[in-house]
Order: sequence, then structure tokens, then C-alpha cells
Amino acid sequence: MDLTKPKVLENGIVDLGCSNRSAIIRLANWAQDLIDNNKPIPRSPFCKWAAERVGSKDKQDLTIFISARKGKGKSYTALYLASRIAEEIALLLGGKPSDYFTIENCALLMDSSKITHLLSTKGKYQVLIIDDAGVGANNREFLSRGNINFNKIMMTCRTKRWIVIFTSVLKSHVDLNIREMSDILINIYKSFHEGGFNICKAKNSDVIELPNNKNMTISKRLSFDKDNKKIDFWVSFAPDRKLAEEYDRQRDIAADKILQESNEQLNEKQAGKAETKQQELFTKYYEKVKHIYESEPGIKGKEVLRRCPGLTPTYLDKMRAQINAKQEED
Amino acid sequence: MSFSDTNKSNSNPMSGGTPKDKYVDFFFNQFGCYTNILRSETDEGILDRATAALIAICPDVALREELFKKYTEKKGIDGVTTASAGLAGNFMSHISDTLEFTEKSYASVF
Repeated sequence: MDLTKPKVLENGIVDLGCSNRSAIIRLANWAQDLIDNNKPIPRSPFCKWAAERVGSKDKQDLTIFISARKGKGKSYTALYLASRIAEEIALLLGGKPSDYFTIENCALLMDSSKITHLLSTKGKYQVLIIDDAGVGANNREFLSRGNINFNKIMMTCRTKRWIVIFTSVLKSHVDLNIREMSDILINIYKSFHEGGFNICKAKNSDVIELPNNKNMTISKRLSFDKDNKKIDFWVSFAPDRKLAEEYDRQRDIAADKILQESNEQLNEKQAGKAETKQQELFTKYYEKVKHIYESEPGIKGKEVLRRCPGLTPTYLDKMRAQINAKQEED
Repeated sequence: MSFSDTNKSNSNPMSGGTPKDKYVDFFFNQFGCYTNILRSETDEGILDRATAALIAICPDVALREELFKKYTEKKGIDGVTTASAGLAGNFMSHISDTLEFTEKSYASVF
């Protein structure tokens, strides 16, 4: 008997043996064995629980927050998780998994108004992904209309029984309300990109209000069996290839769009600034410059600039061009 | 050497803690004595009685009966010494599970 080989227990829980540093290696070997030999992936107790939470009489919703450094596989983990939860919801409520999750349910790097639109148009029991939530629900724009609308929707999403999966590099990058409303926090602990899986840690999160008007977040490992076995690690596999490809394609489009919007905003801002400055200088010096040139024809530009502090050669040229044009008109 | 000679925890009125703590203290003292007997005793009669005494301090009725049954079965086949060693191992495994000496890791899939 191989004492170090993980054993799959009831409810899809894997017994890794002793809790030591090599437990994660044993788990990685087990996961790799499933992939390499096309073995069936056990039913997920988490996804089953999530589906029952939204699909049962409890009338609950679920907010999941996935965090990890860039490139560790947050988006793919979110996609895989969403697909698996959709499968469980389909088993529970009937229909196809695609009735509960498709690529249309993903908000990719979108701004908050688009997220708000997406959330407000989706039906019941949907699994949604807000990828890179820092873009749409940024903590630095906490009073923006988009964030406020977004929070309102998040607070009322219970009636729609949604499962919303946020991803972000750090939890702190996202608006506080969303962070506090997250039920499950998932962190990508170790990536095995070449192997086709990630090892994650997951905790449930509860916020308690303290008497001094402060909040305290309590996080606990998840457990789903009668013996209350605390689950230390979770394996997420690569999502469906077609889904991942489409996701990547849409993400590239979204990234380009964001970049374009940022550039446009920057240009508008710069254009606006230049216009204001020109107006200010024209109001202040136009008549004075006109008078100087009329009274002292042939005066050097340098001398005019010396008499008009703040005026630059560019604006002086513009002013002269306008003065000449007016004189010609007259 | 007998059980009563080194029965420290049971004789110490100052031993504190919860009933569980007291039992654990008592058990390990008894178990230490038992392994000494198992290691050194050549008289099978004494070892047999020591094993019976150890089984008797098992707090779980079902487990106690199971241990006793297994011990008597194995004693007939492998002899007192081997059966006693097996029983000591089984008893310790049970205690380890109860007191969670070995912390385990669990995982699952999304």
C-alpha cells in the first residue's frame, strides 16, 4: 500500500496524508495524474454547495473573490469555476450549463457603466465573471457614479440569485463594499500552467461589526463533510479550450478598447487644458499686445514677451496671427 | 514492575485539567508501563494480564470489545507477545485519531 498517495474520500475530498510541506506536491502529482491519464475529475463539493446555495429555498446569492499576482491564472480559474458551478446548477435546476454561464456573462476589463449594464440585463441563477475588477470597480473611484451603481446592484443581486466571481491582483484594489460583500476568498497559491492546473486556497469570509464602529473580517477554511474536515487546498483545472480561446480573444479586444478610451480621455484632457490656457492669456494680453504692435511697429517678440509675463512664444504667435487677420478684415 | 507501582497520575490529587486531560495523562502513564512490560516480560501469563488491563482502560465500549476480540483471536494464532504488540499499536492508532496527533491535509477540486 502506498501510504503517501492521496486518497479520494466521499464528497470529492482528497486525503493528502500528513500536513507537511510535501502535501502540496502529493496533491500536484495527483492532479497531474488525473490530467495525464484522462481520469474523471471528482464532483466538486464547493460547486455543489454553491449551486445549492443559490438554487435552493434559502434565496441566497454568492460572491467569490479570486486574487493572485499577474499571470498566475486568475481568469482561467474563474472561467473553470464558473463552468463547473453552471454544470451543478443545471443538474439542480434543469437545463443546460450554458443556460447559466456563457462567455457573455464575463465583464472583461470593462468600465463600471458596462458592468452595470451587463448585470442589470442578466436573468436569474447566472454565474458572472468580473475579470480584473480593479478596472470596473476601482477603490480609487469609490464615489464615482459607476461604482455607486455597481454597489447598488451588488446589494440587490440576492433577488436574482447570482454567483458573481471577481478577479483582481489584490483585494485592496477593489472597492471596499465589494470586498466586504465577498463570501468566498480564493487565492491562487501555486500555478502549474504547463501541467494544466492551479492549486488554490479558499476561505469563507465574514465581516463582523465591532462596538467601536469598526469591522473585523473572519476567514475560515471551507469544510463540506460531516466530520468537518478543513480543506487546505483546491485544484482548478484548465477551462474548456474553446471557451478559453474566445475569452482570450474578447479580452484582447477589451484591452485595446480600454487603451483607446484612456488615450482619448488623455487627449481630451490635454486639449481642454491648452484651450483654457489660451483663453486666459488672450483675455489678459490681447489688447495689450495689439496696442504694443500698433504703437511700436517692428518691436522684437522678445521685448513683447518681457512686458507680458506668462505669455509664451507660441501664444504670442497665435495672438499676432489673430491681430493680423483682424486688421486684414478691417 | 506492575501497573500500580508507577501509577502517578491516578495517585496525584493535584493533577488538574479537564476529565479528558486527566484521562490522557492517566492513559500515557499506563501505556508507558505496559510497553515496559511488553519489552521485558518473558512470562506470558503476566503479559496477558497486563494486556487485559490495558484493554480495560479503553473508554470506548465498542472499541474495547473489538480490541479484546481481535486480541484473543490473534493470541490463539500468533501467541501472546505478538498479539499484545498488535493490540498496543491498534490502541495507539485510536488514541492518535482521537487526539489528532497527526495533523492531516485535505484538498478538493473546483
